[in-house]
Amino acid sequence: MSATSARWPKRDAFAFAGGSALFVDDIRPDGLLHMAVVRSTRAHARLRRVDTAPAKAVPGVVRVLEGREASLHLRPLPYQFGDPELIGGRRAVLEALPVEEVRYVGEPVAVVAAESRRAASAAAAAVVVEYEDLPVLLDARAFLADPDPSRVIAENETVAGDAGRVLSAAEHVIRTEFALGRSSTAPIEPRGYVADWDGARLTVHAAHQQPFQLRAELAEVLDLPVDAIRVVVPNVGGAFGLKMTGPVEEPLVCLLSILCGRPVKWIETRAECFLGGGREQLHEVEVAHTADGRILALRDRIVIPVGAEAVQPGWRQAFVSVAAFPTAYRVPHLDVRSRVVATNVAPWHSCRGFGKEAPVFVMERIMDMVARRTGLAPAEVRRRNLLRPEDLPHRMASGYRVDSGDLPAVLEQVLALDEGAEADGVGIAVEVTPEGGGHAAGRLGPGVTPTVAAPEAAAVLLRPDGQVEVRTGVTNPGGGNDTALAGLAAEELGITAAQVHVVQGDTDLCPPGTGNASSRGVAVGGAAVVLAARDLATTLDSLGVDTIDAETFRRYGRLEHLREYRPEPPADPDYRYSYPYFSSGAYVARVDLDRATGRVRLRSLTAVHDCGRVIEPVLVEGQLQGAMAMGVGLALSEESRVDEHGAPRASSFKEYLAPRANDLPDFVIGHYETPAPHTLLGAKGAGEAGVGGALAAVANAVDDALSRRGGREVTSTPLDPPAVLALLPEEQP
Amino acid sequence: MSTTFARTVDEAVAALAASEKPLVVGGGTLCVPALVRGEIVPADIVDLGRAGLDTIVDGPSVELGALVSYQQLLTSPVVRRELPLLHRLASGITGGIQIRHQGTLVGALCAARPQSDVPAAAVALRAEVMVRSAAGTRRVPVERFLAGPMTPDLASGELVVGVRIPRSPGTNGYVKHKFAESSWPVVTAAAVPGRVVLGGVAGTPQVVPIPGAATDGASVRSAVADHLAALGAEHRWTDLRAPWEYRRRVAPEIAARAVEQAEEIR
Amino acid sequence: MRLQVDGVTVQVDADPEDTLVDVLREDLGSTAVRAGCRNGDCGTCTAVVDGRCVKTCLVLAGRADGARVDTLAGLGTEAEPHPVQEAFMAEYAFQCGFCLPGMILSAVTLLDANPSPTDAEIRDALSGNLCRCTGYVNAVRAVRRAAGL
Repeated sequence: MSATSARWPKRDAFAFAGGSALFVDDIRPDGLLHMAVVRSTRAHARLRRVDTAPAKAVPGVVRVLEGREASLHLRPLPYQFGDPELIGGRRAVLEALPVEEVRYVGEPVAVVAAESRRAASAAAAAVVVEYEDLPVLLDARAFLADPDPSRVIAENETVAGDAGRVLSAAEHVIRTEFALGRSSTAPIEPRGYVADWDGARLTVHAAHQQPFQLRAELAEVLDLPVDAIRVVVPNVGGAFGLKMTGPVEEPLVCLLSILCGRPVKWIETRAECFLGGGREQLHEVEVAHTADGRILALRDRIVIPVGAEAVQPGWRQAFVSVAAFPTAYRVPHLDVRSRVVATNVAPWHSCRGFGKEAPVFVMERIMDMVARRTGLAPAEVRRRNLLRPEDLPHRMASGYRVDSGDLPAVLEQVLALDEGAEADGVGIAVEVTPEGGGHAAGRLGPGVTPTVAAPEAAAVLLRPDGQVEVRTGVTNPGGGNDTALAGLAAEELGITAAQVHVVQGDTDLCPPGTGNASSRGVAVGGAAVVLAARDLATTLDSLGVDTIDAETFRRYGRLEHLREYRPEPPADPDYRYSYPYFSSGAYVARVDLDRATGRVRLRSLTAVHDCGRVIEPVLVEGQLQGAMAMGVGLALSEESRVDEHGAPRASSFKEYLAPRANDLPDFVIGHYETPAPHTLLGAKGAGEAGVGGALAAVANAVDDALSRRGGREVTSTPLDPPAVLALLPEEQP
Repeated sequence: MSTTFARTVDEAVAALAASEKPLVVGGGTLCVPALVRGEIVPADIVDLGRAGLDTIVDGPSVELGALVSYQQLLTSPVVRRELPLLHRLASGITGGIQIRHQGTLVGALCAARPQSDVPAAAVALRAEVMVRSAAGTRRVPVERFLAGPMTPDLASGELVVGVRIPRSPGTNGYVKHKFAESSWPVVTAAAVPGRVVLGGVAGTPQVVPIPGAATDGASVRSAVADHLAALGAEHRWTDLRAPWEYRRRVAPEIAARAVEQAEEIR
Repeated sequence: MRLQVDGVTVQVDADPEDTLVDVLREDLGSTAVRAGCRNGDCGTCTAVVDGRCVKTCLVLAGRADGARVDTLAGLGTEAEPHPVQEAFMAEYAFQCGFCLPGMILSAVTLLDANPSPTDAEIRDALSGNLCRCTGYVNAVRAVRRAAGL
């Protein structure tokens, strides 16, 4: 790192602005082979034959591997983020390559290693697979039409009071359905790995969020000692959940390296990247409310099609979607139950928002529906139902514990901040976002396994060049937490951030951690850095060192200090460990609606965000801007559709409509700070908030615009023009 | 596989004639990715990038070479003056500065995608497609050239060297309806005196006569609605973005906006 | 084939049916063009070829024989960054930075032709480049800043 690198809000900014930053595809060891994947063309079928002979004949091919041979070398894949039973899930034995049966279009059936990318693709195309088709289930409606219990892989509930009784007695009841489409994360850099087996040790460079989890998985599946594996994460071109552990290509690229004795690279194609998805849900909702807009009871029956069973954490978002009800509100009688259904499309991967966006959408639509029926202003309905500061900390029915915040204040601030531009429709939304790790909530009792906080760790040490080095177990897929971590260490040590060198993502150098997940990088990882830096500062004081430089290292050596930190919400013997902090936010969207075509244009989007103590305002705003853009995309255009045979219909950015610069307005962002009581720094997270809030605010704005033109209510996303126009009566030419 | 970077049209035509299964590369925006993905497996490649086809020639008709990019249409004074409809079309091409530098009008015609910008506009402007082969040049009215969805009227050994478009400086309008910046057009309408041509509603552009006395919105909408009501089911276009029913519903309005734009220019 | 990349003439032995992005990356080791979609959508393979700002995943290598290719790497230095680079750094206009070849070169191309663009013109000029981190808010600010607006 050079002396000028701290001139800019982002560390090492010129490496990126000048194009020298290295990403995984820039790594090319000598003797490199390239992997290509043979993928199922059927949504559900018995594998009758996988003939690899034609592929082996392609010039440049070194190795072809199908399921039977792979199974001789690989153990079943371990579930990520804990046992499935913890969240009421069914356990499946899942192999990297199937032997008997394929379960979705795009499922890997064989892999090829070849001297060039082109030879590998040509060979993959030459593998002959014979299928015998089996019955296919593609979505929630098809499941509801003919519920097959064998498809249900989990059932979750969050219940309080007696919603059934209240609903049957209530004067005002809303019954409706809500549907959220399947969508993806689509970072501009797809997944990628370079595996290099040198005969004794496996080094894996990976575009990844969780190097330690990847290392553990590979050790188990490849049956290697953990210390025989080194995972190194170079710069990562965005992740948003996609780059967590569990996709089957991870052990496969490593196995090919071991079998070939050469380094092997796999870079996902864009079409492969668009196979996975998440967020799709179907809700059947009943709400009882009073004439003055108070919610009395909510019943929701949810079907969540999570794609084929998989070990990656994506399917767990279905649990969070249930547990996060009723979001920011007081609902005395709650009865939310889900069926999580295995379907014949590619498995869910983690998606920014991690299941928290769907309940926000549902609750915010409900608030507007109550407003419409009671004649109250949407903001007023929210005021009457929001959790108040005096309600906090608040234990939700699921066991999630809202630690802090001031939701009414955040709402009022955003209403004041919104500039009130002329528009066809205005929508608001309030969001709480459970963060910091701890999705498997619930009441403890006989037979219920407790859960505990995962720690983060950091080492702070002196370098020969006089710099201070921070080694952390949290990783940075692009959001820039290295900047915040360096700043925190510098502050403790009384030096400039430019004198701090941050090492992340290397399992040989860094202390273990959770990488990049659940908005923990600064709030938890940063706390560990502060503790370790503080210890170093104390040591330096005791040694009488005023100025840290190369001389300090020469005299005293590394002086390494290692500290671990975990958030400490008050222990409660009745509950599992909950997400330790909740950020909150409120949003106002303004849209124009083209009555004749159903096209919606976002005019403005204003947010006020409370993520506790703000460590680096510029970074926090950046995180929120990106999340809001994704929420707008989900509201209006992003959708991972499949055809009637389960084949993806959105395999490129021409079909999957991610927002571009001229689809979006400037966003206006304000801050409100209620420090998190149970984190060292008072910081909460900033990674996931904004997706659900923006999604819901835009949907509500569209609904408002529709209602002024005689349209029907919004119940689904994305609100693309055909969906919007279908809600409007047809005008005669 | 041989790859020819032809220096002249004759060289390109000769390479084309010699190949069993050639791929002609113009702007490259559609066929190069397809080639990389292995969706097209040609025996040979004939690249027109250096064949001198990137010129715009003014005359009674404006002649656009096959490699003329959208950016050239945007910056050409001739196009701005004589074919303002094309200037407007080029300013709305999806894909940013880069695709405007790379995409070509002729490439879009050869792709003959019903949902793209160019077909309806080219029909409205009565473009004539210049097709070359070893046998010589044939001139095909664009309506005939666009034989069907993704089906240009091109025999083996033939390539398009350019289009000729009669000057159309006056009253015209072009409106496209798409869903987001990334989206391809869903319905397009090109209005010139006497007619409006619709893209995205059928496999090929649909010409709807608009008499000079009936250019008000209601008349245009009604003429388009009648035309679409009479369209055979086999011609109705549908794709990922929108079903036919949606296109039927919005097309009259898109047409009316194109005509209104033309009237404003008048 | 012969190329002049960021002012340096190089000789490469590449398949003419390779794409230019692969020649620059695989044969010449450039990290200043990247492959994000290989479909002309994301813009991160952008370079300026013979003065035209293009997506190099759409260009057959052979077509570029003899061309002058200017990439992000040749734009400025850390000591003296190009004003657009400086503005992107100052405004925190990127997070992961993967999209920057297209973002910055599009902005440079825009400002060369139009030194005082409107916001709509800025957003239009950036529209060939996808970013999933930032929502484009700060990128637009950065272009404004570079234009001195």
